[in-house]
Amino acid sequence: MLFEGKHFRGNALVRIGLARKFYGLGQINAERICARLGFYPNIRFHQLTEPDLLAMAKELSAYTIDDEKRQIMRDNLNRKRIAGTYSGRRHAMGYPIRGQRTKRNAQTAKRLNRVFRRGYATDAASEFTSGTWYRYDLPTTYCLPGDIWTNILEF
Amino acid sequence: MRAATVLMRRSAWKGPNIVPLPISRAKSEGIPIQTAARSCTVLPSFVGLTFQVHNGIEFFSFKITEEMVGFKLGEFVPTRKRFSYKSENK
Repeated sequence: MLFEGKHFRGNALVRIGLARKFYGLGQINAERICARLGFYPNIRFHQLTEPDLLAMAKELSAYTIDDEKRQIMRDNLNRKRIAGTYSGRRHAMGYPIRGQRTKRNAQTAKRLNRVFRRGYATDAASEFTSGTWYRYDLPTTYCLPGDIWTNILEF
Repeated sequence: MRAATVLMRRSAWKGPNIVPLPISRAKSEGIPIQTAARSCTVLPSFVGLTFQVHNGIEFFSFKITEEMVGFKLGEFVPTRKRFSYKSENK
């Protein structure tokens, strides 16, 4: 079934389905939404009626989720990169941020750390929309503006 | 200053980490400030000044811009060299 432009299995638990499909929602908020609408905890999607769905959509509109939430995260990362911090640089290079080792492992950082980081919540591939203001596909050397960065790299 | 960058790292009652630096002298004379206090928070009054911050070996020079406010001085000065292979023709 379709809800807010996302597909849900009919026999999926509502509290789990919401948490999985909407980035930035999480189990606790999903349970809270169900509780506020008076659903019993193990309600499934095929048991919801049309007014229930409308009420749920209204509840969801109060939350910052999906693209808005991802944009907030990317703005925060981009601010670090523009400022020229160590953390921003490590993000751009795809390395761990907080002093973890990189001789081996560091696989989570390689998978996740980007300046234009993907926010995982849906099982559908999140699309890479717009983003002309930075280059995430080039190595760090090419995407760093300002004299600080060139100084650091020469150093 | 962005409140979050300061408030989320450190107890709010402490405020930013303020280190005595010759700010007024640097502003009037236009000289760089040489310091080893990497943990000093960048305040709005630092914007436009040139800092020379210690990286463990030498003092690294850079200019403070608007975006850097709220971060620490040491965040802009890397302490490690990038790895590169030794050249063969030696």
